Amino acid sequence: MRVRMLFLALSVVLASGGAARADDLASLSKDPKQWIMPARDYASTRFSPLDQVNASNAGKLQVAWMFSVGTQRGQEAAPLIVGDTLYVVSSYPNKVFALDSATGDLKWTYIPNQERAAQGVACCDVVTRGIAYDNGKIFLVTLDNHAVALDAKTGKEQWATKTGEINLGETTTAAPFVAKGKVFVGISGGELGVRGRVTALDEDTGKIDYIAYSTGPDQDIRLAPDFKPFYDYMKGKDLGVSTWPPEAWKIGGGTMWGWFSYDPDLDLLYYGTSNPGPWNSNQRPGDNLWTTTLFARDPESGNAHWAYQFNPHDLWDHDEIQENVLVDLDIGGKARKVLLHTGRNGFMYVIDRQTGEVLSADPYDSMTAYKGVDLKTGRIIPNDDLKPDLNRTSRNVCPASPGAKDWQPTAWSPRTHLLYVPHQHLCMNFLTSDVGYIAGTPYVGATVDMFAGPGGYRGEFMAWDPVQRKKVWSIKENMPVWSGALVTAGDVAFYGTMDRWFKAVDAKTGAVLWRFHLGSGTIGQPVTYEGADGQQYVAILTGVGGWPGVVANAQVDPRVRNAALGFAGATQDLPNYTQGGGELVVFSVPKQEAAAPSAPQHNP
Amino acid sequence: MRARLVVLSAALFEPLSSGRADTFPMSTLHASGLMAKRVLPLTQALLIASAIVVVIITALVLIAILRRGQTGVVTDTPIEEVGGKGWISVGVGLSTVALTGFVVWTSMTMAEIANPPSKPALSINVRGHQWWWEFVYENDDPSKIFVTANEIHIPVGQPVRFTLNGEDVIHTFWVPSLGGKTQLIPGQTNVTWLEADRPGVYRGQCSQYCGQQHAHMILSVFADPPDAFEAWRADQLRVAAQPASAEARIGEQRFIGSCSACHTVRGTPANGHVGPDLTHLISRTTIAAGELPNNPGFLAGWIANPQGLKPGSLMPDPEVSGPELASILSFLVTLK
Amino acid sequence: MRTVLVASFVLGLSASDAHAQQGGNPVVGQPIQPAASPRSETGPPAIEATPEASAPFSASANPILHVPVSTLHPGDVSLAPKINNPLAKDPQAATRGMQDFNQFNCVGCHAGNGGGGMGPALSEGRFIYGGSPANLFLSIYQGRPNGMPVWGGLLPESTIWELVSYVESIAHPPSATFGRTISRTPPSPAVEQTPAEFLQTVNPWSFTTSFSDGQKPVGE
Repeated sequence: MRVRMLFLALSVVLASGGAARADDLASLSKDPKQWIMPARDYASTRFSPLDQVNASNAGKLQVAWMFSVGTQRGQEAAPLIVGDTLYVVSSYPNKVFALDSATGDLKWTYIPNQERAAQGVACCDVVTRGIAYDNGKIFLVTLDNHAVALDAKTGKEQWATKTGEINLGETTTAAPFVAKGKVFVGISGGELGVRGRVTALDEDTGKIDYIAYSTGPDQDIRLAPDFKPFYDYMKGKDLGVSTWPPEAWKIGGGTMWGWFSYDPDLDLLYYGTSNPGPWNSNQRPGDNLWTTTLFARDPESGNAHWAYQFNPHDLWDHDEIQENVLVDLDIGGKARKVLLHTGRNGFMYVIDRQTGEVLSADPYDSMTAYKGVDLKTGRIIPNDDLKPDLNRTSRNVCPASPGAKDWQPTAWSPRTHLLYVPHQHLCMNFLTSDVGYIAGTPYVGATVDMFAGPGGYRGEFMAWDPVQRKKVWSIKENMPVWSGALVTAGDVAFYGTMDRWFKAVDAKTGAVLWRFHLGSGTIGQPVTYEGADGQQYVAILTGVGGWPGVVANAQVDPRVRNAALGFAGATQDLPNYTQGGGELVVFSVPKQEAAAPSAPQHNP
Repeated sequence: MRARLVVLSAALFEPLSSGRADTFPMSTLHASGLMAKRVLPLTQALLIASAIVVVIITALVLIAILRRGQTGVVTDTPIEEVGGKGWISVGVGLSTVALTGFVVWTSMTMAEIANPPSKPALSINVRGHQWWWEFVYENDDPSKIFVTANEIHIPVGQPVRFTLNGEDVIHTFWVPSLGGKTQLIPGQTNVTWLEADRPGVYRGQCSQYCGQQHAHMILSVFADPPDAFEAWRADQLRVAAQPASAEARIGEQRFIGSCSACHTVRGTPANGHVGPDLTHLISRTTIAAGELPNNPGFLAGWIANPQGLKPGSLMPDPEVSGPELASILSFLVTLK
Repeated sequence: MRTVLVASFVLGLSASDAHAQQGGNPVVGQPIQPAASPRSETGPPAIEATPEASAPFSASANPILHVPVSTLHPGDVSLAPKINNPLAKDPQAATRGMQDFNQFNCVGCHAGNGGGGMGPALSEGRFIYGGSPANLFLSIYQGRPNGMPVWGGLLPESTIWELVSYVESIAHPPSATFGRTISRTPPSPAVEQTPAEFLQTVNPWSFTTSFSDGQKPVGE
């Protein structure tokens, strides 16, 4: 404990110099007891070195304490644990709570004063995916596009900066990310004709350092002369303009509502962009750069070093905002610095994170929408038989619009060398129609109806070996698996299901070790940490919702399959299993459980 | 009468000047395009054949009437067979030969005009709406695609491909002096082509009854020399500039607040898809699908009273005051 | 100005009548509008536009101003005016409303056949801000604070009434009970609508099949 305080103090001292700031989070994440960003570390592994809970005792997990966040809509956020404090943020209105990580005692609450109308322009439930920490501050983004810094100790507001406009359909749901003294903030609204971008703010003042757009001229995208995409179709001047019909790039999506990762050695920030708008692809001939694109940027200047567009001229709303897990693998006898990108398009990508070269891309779920990825040209090959011509229904398109995997982050274990992937298994019918743009309203032009994929199940939790390029084990789930994954040095992987189960599985075999019926379905991100009492805790924020879950937590009619942009078709029976209700539930394997069952509670 | 006959015969058999086309803006006999010219001999021959048939039949009917009058016999008993079956054979035989000939000729002509003689210089997607025409100038380079309404410009001497879609009911695209009469059917894409062999303005019309304002669904084809066409095309790609005057800027705001759910003006947030794209409204010669000349007076009248001028059209009567209308107008006239 | 136009429409005047009024022909029961009366750009529907009305706040002058959003009436007496949809007898109004619903992006939030999503469902016949024609009109015209945009001004009032006709047409689920039961066994709900990618209709509740539990729709 004292050691950690010293360590924290040291970090704060170091952090006073700009260059040292990166070390703050990087070294904090080396402390196994903490969980200081949603992905736990810059590499986005969601791996905890804690091993008190392991395959042999996970079956004895019990509830340690609970906390209601007071909202009924979907909870996708990851709690953070810094020192002895657990921070958690609710769905809209995005209240932030600071609690004692061992006892659950409430320390402070922060309630932002949001514009209520923001709820009307959030495409897929009024979620947030988390908060960030650095240098004594908690960073919050609100649905109505405010980035806020709070004093981590007191909850006092330090600064608040508006980074988007709801009247243009903009909301913010991605968790902020901090690297090199900058807070990176995304923007949501790929369904509302929002022009995608990432905004970098100074973490001390909240001043906007720069904005890196996803569409438009090279200057706006921050493509410097040294920008070097690996593949030819991304080479040329101002492709963010010329791969669109005139002016369409201004309302063309390419938003960023997912995950950042950062490689301090290469000094590159990685993130992917969303679908182009509208969904009706007939209205936007061209490759629609730089939507569905992975960027590698210099976080200092924002300049892109390379980029890779996954789905040129996206047909099916296949955003690629998923997490990019930075790992070093031995591929073909060579040690390579790669990133793992579990594509929404259903392909598992292994990409050289220095150059943007695709080393492999393998389908990991049922696939009719594409025929493969051409590794020579880098381009994905769409299935022309399903081409969504105007006013014609394309049937049985797999994966469906939310893809084989949506935002829900994977976890990587350096012990098993496996990637743990929560994902859905859905197909759809898709009908395009002409749509006009009216600022602040949906710009979609598609009637979608999703349903369970082949086999009748709708979700899967599986372990993938990126070197062997194959599935190692899998657990089929009735509902889409919309929660994140966690894996620990105890070789236990955790995930939650929409039908209320929270599960611990053996990371090596996939055997279910333990499961627990939570109060509501889970779409959150499990985390683990060690409290001041030396106990390992596993925390999950439950509360069903998100795009697949609004049918159970809001006024959505399960009998109308096209509701919720078509997701209601696939989860129409969800209200038979759960209702909304946000609650943080913290588990542990009590020490007395093993030693003396009658020993007094450590937490009176 | 005689004068008209002279004109008719001239129309049938003389090659025509472009001046004549203005006199007969919708005449199939004034072919000015490659396709129309290939169809013209067939049209003329059918016209002549039909005329001959009419003359013969009329003559025979007259003869029959006159002969019956001469005999003056009225009888209830069936008329005895007096021969003449041979005439039926002759009549049927002649008709069969003539009709077969025309079928073959028509098929050959259709095969001939099915495809343009060379690769089309341009592809235009035509969308028929009740009651106006939307034209999308397609391009392999997506940044060169643009949308306009009711008036198209094409380069002279080059075939242009048209893909046709009906957005609500069945319409028919037809520019008689250029040819290409083809239906626009909802849920289906039809294809035709046109080529104008001399510069000029050619009028077209929806030629499938499509509702109340079918008659007011007019289009104009401007066949431009290639240089002029390229200049026009480059101009159409331009986005609307920020208006110079303060009143027009207020008008732009009002336009966005009142009109943008339906209309697009590229370069502004107005991006509706229900009515015509107005980015270059003032570059067009007519408004309301050829119903009215395009000048500020008619434009103001049209905005103020669309349901009086074109009852049933989707353009609603305005909910703006006179001064508001004036400011919107001052914005619209900047859309050159 | 706007408010007067709303009222004129409610009183059964067509949009073109309202326009004629602008042209200087006074309409019975309506104050004459000064031609130069400017519209407030951002403010509420301009109360200022009716200064000449003898009793500007009386229900007879402007009945739609008196449509309540709440159903809670102190004294248990409701003086709410009864306002019908002026298009109630137009058999094509709902069909035009369905086109409006698609063209003006209502479908993006409320979904095909009004199943809901970003916005609440319209297909269940339950409306947060009231289900009378005037309530529906005002919810569209004024917007609602939790995310319903303001459509007054952008859409003509006739279009909004068409939308009201359509919403009324799709909002009649086949259930006669006070509440609803949700269960796996016996399956409840038991039916679902034929999805909109196969059928666009103003009577979606007339085309139902058995509930699919997230599997492919029947008839695939």
